[in-house]
Amino acid sequence: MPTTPTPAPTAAAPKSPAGAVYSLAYTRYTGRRRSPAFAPLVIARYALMAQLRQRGVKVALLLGVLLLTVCAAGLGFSWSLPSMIAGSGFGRGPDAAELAAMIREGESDVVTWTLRAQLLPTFLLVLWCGAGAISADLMAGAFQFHFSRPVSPGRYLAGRVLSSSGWALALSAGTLTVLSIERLAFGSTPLGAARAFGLGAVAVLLSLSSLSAAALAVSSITRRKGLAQALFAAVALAGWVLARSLSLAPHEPWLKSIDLLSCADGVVAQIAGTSRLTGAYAAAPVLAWLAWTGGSLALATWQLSRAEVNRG
Amino acid sequence: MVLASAAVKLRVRSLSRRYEGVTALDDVSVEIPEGRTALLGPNGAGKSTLLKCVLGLVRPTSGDIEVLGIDPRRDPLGVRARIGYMPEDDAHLPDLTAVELCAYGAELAGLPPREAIDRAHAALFYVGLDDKRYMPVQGYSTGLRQRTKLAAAIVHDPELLFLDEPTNGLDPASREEMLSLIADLRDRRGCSVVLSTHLLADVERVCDHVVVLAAGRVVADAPLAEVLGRGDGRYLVRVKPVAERFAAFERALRDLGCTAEPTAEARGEWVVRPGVADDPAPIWEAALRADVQVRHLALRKASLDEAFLRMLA
Repeated sequence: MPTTPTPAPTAAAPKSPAGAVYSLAYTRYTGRRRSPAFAPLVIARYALMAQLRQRGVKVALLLGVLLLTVCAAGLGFSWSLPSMIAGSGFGRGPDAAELAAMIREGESDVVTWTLRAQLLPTFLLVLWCGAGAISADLMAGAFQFHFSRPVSPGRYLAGRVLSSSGWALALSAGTLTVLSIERLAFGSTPLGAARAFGLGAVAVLLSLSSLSAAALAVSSITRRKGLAQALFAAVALAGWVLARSLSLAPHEPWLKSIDLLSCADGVVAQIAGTSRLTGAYAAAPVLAWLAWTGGSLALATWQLSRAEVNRG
Repeated sequence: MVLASAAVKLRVRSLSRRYEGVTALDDVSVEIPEGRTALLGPNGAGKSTLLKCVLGLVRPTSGDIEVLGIDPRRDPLGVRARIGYMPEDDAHLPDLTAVELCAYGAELAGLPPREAIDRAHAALFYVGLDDKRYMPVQGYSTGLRQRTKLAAAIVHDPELLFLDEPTNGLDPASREEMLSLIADLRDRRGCSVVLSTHLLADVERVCDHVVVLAAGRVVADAPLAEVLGRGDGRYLVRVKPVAERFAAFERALRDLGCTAEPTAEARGEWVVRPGVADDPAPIWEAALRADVQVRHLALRKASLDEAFLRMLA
């Protein structure tokens, strides 16, 4: 039998380092894993979540909602004028042919005003969310974070394209939906409203893809977020002013449709058959859009592919 | 050193990486076994470059790499899904909290969203970030950032974890906690660890295998015990403390071609390098001549600092 009593503890038991030993929650993971093809969606989702915390994004979204309200009210008033005139007895109401022409014009307004009303907010959103995205990642060391995980440069870029245009897309899609429904309420057939919505969707996608590609291309060439945003603004606004000025020259109206902000409008006008460009010049908007979007994506891809994550 | 294939987590053969005018890695061949391996070397030795080549972040100029049996150049995404990397520099995303950052990392590694957020909380709790895990990472102190980086590196349960200078900038208490975590990762979670550092004390504390790089070349690749046990041909000699005979003993040692330095630890104790390597006979002879009683004579084990400096020399 033991005769030696157990010694009383003379000091408190040594404390385990915080979380190091007593944590039982961190265990082996044996669940399923998804394909790396989901990476762009994951990148976009987290980026959109983080962007919503920035004041600039909130302000741009609020501005967009305000402009949508004004635009919807104005168009509603404009579309209701013929029936108001007819009901007032001061003039002759439109006949069937005039009414059909007005409805077609109204459907075209849906596309035009979706782009016009949201031009400033979408530009600001892409400027804020896209033009500094890759620069901010370079500064924060996020390339190491992404590329030490199963993320390829192509998927990273796809995620950044989605995230840089995500909020602008939501705003434009919301505007397009509201205006299409409003158009339906003012006499369009469901088919007519759907056609306007479809054309508007193409316009929004074309416009945002070229804008976000250009923003990311600019962002990929510098680590400074502010510089990237300033460069993007300069490329977009200076190009717009220059193209507008040059297009005033006789016989050169095609110049108006080759700048970054206008090339998508020109392509949509071609699709809708409302473009005034003829002959070889008719291809100018499409070529400009391809050049802006493809060239920007190629530049960003090239920059990413040669950017060795070598800061250590 | 040749290891059994199953035990090898990382195999590098004739790896070279050259930048303009600089050779960061020069014909590096190394096999890293299961367990905790230290990648040691002075600043600029090529440690970070080697890690980045292994991760596929930096393209090697030549050579072959095999990580967990996979060639990262053929299947870089497959390799990265199974390994974790804690970089030396900051690696976070602006405006994300620690929980979101870890969940983001887990989702990028393939975990579904719900599992990712659960694992993020578990990993952050494991590394000791309690309530602070809901704050944006850019507002963290250095210690919290290091812990967050570790949590983000282990959140997807990697089989092999690369830690690049994990204790940089940490105060002593935080450093001790970080080393405890690194030890625990292997002992209890079965995750092999490659620790890149120039802090030898960290290596002695947690590692059992050492790879030493210097100027882009491997100068040692051996178990830590072997590196420490190699000694440097010097003997630790302790004699009966009779002070008046010490001078005679030192003189006799010098006459017999030995160099002797008294230690600071005790009187009557010397570190002696015999004139002929690994031959203690002159020490016995000197003791006989000076009439001193030898109480301890053994080949002296080097500290890791000494072993490291010797290898670099």
